[in-house]
Amino acid sequence: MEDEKIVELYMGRDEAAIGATAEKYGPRLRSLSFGIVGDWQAAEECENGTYLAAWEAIPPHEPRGYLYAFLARITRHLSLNVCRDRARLKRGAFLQELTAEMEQCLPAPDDLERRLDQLTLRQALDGFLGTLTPEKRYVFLRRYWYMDPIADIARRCGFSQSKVKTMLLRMRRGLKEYFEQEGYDL
Amino acid sequence: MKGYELLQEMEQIDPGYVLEAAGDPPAPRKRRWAPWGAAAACLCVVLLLALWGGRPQEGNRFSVTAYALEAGDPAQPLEASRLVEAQDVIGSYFDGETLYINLCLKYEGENLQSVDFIAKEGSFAKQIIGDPRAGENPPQLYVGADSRLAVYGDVFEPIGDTLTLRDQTDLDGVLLFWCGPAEDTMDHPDSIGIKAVATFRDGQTQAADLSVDLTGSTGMGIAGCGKTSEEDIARWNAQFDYYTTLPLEDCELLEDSVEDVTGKEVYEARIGTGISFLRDFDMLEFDENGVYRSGYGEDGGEVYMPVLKKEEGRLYGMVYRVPEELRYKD
Repeated sequence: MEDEKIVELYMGRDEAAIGATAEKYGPRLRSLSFGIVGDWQAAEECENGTYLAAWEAIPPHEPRGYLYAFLARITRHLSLNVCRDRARLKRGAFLQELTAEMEQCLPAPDDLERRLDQLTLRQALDGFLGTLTPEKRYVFLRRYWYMDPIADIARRCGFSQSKVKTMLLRMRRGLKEYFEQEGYDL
Repeated sequence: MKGYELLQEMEQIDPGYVLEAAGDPPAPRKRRWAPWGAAAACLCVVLLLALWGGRPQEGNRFSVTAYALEAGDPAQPLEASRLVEAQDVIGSYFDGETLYINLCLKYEGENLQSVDFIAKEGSFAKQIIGDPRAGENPPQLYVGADSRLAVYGDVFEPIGDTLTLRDQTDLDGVLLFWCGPAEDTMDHPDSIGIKAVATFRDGQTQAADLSVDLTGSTGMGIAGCGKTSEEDIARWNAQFDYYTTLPLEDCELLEDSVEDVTGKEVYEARIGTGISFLRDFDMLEFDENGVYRSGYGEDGGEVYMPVLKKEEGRLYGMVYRVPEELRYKD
């Protein structure tokens, strides 16, 4: 079913919307969540939580042109919460690795000019992503949005792992410099 | 804001970008390395033999080895048990456009007429040891505990994607390289795929697929002067000078790395997932504090500095990690 029609079902408060969503995007959402939480049961819970959250959020939201991105954002959010709450040792290590990488993007606190609200942060991130080539942006987002392991990204892109690591390192430095140049303090 | 929060807040980005990254990767600008199949995770070299063209005739025998890594005496064919012990050190040269990786190809057999080595990606090139075109005292790179010569100067002769050997001595006095386009010294494939085809005197052929696994390896390379800009060279030199004069007390000593190497021949300094070898201690120039610093190595976004220190008549090897705030900035 077309995204447009699925959104229409939500807008009309038709519960078939959830079935249509699950049919079209269920496996991808579950897979996204599994990549973060690391077990299928929790991933299924996050997937189901996504449907519920979508049901509550549409309307007022109308994600007509970006339904998958809208759903995936919810799944990612729920999965990160599960991961943090359960403090699973293994996933904790995975999350720590990603967190440490993200730390490298944060400017020094003495560069303080203004704090970022959510909207400004979004603008800053979008601005930085806009400076990247599609290839680099893909690698960056697979790592820090979809939270893929380096090896998976390398396989997807046909790069060596060392190349992916180098690209990510440079982009983290680039993001930090971008925040600093634009006068953002996080 | 902490790293975790930034990771969480990534969800705020434009949904268009999220959708863009949900699909297949964009077409590469230049080229992409094709994955050549899974290689054993902990082996540096994977050797697969496949017989083609039916059962070879009695007396025809052929085996090949290939490695890009320090693996002891290159005159001796590698035994399977030694492959696991091979160290993860690549000898390479980057000229700003092409990355050359020193490669050892060896074969042995009976009734052999010739052996063709065919690169599945990239191509082969060679250097002649002592080539006068490289000038006097050209830059030379030695890798591994046995100081195997891996790069001699900056003159490379292209061979193409097929190297034909009629005698093992064809490679005497020659350094062989696999090469391919690259954006930097780290831009190498995870493995180098090579097909070796032996032709026997009776006309039969036999083939072997080799995969030289480079994952997790540490590049010991020369940044070349050929097509590299003066600016790059100046930057690399400045980076080297910076790290070799950085106060050690400002860096983090990795306690597990400290080893008493008094009377030993080599100190194996762990640089992240790789190893840097320090040897010939007697020939090294220690400063007035009894400290020798060999330079720096980068791995996984971290910078490490192998160091030797003389203390109370003993010699210790150790590795320092450079804190992020002290890393070299252009």
